Amino acid sequence: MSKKTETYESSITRLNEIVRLLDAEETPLEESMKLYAEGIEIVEKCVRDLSEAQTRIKELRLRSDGVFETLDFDEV
Amino acid sequence: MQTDTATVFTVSQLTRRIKGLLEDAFPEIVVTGEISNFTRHGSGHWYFTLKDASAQLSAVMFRGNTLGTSFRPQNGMEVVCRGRLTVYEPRGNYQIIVSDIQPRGEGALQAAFEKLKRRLYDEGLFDDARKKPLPPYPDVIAVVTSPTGAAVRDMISVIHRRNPAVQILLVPVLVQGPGAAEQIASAIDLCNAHDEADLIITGRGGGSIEDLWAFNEEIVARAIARSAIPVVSAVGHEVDFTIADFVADVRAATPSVAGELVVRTREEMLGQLEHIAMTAGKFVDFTMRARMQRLRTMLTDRAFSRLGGRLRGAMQLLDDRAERLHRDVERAHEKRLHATALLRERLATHDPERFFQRGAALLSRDGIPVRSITQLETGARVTLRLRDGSADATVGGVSMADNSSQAQ
Repeated sequence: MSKKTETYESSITRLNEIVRLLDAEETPLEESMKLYAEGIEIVEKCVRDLSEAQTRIKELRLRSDGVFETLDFDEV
Repeated sequence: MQTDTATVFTVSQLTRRIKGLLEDAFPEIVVTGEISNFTRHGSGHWYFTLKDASAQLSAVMFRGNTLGTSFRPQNGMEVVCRGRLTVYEPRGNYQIIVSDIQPRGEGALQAAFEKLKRRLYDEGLFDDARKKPLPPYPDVIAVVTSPTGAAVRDMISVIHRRNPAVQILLVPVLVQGPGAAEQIASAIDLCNAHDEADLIITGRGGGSIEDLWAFNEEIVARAIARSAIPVVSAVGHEVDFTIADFVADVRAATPSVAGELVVRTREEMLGQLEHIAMTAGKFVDFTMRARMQRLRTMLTDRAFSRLGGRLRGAMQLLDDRAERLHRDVERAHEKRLHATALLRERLATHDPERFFQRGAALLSRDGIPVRSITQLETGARVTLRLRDGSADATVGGVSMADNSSQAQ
């Protein structure tokens, strides 16, 4: 639906998958270590994103020539 | 006739005569029309004009009658007035003195509402099966509402407070009056064409049934129904449902509630991340331990113990290596958990909620933060912002701290 490639939701989905793989018997040890490192990296990125982000409010308009236009809306 | 033409009236006499004729002819009438020039006078009387396409009539409703009226007339409303005609002599105006006023066609509006509701219901537009689940972690939320009302401020502040990482895309529309329904519908279509929002909230603050009417229009219902992006309706604080509420994927009772429904708090999300990190660590730890255990069992196995010391030495080495690896992993894990906890801690100190919790307020003047007493003087108009609202205030006096100018 969305054009964005990496969303918070996709990060959580991947994390849950990693946890499931870590729990699986058949995952080789070496693979587990890699998965674990990847998981922690994603967690750290998510925490960073959450802590650093500031609400941006944009105003969406459709110009008469059919082009989308987003303007800053500073009314908090 | 002859004598009549010879009679010369004074203006007062003539006016009084007309007044008498009118009052006798129309002692009690019911008239319908549209309200304009509505004025609520300080005395409690209401003054307005009733009009239709080609005529108008002055109207007054006195305090004695307005006090008992729960209905709040507004310009543009179609009403039915009961009253008597009279002449206001100082102006030579004839007018109706209204004893009772009712919105016209409330019954008709209600009937239209029920009919549309029935039709859309039969079409399956309200079916639970076609309701889309809300995305659990929206990154971008489109808000289709008036850019000036309290509703937009409520939504923005709730969303911001719960999770500042969420981006808001405002699509300004009229939410009442002519053209409002068309604007709301095309704004919803616009969000879908733009395709960046994960979720749309559309709504407005509370109001009369007429004020909320745009959200009962079929064109809005259709736009919500065809939206590929999930839609949350947030209309008013009334118990009543609008058609938009029935079609929307989720209905929120008020704009603030909508904000709470769609956005998880940052604390909640951080807690979840921490939980995932712990679980992952636990699983890695568990796997390591299980494998070490297997290794040890093998080493102590009688078949192996009979083997030569060289092999045993090799096994010992392997055991040591595994032990070291295990410790390394554990240490790295702890370090990372610690880093996450630190980030969380740092976040908490920056949490505006905490700031307000201590009783502090943000002080600004004309939108500029006040950082020094030198920015203020007696009589200055300032704004105090708290967690859940703001207050306008006037500075009653100013005094500079003693030590501020003689700092060493």
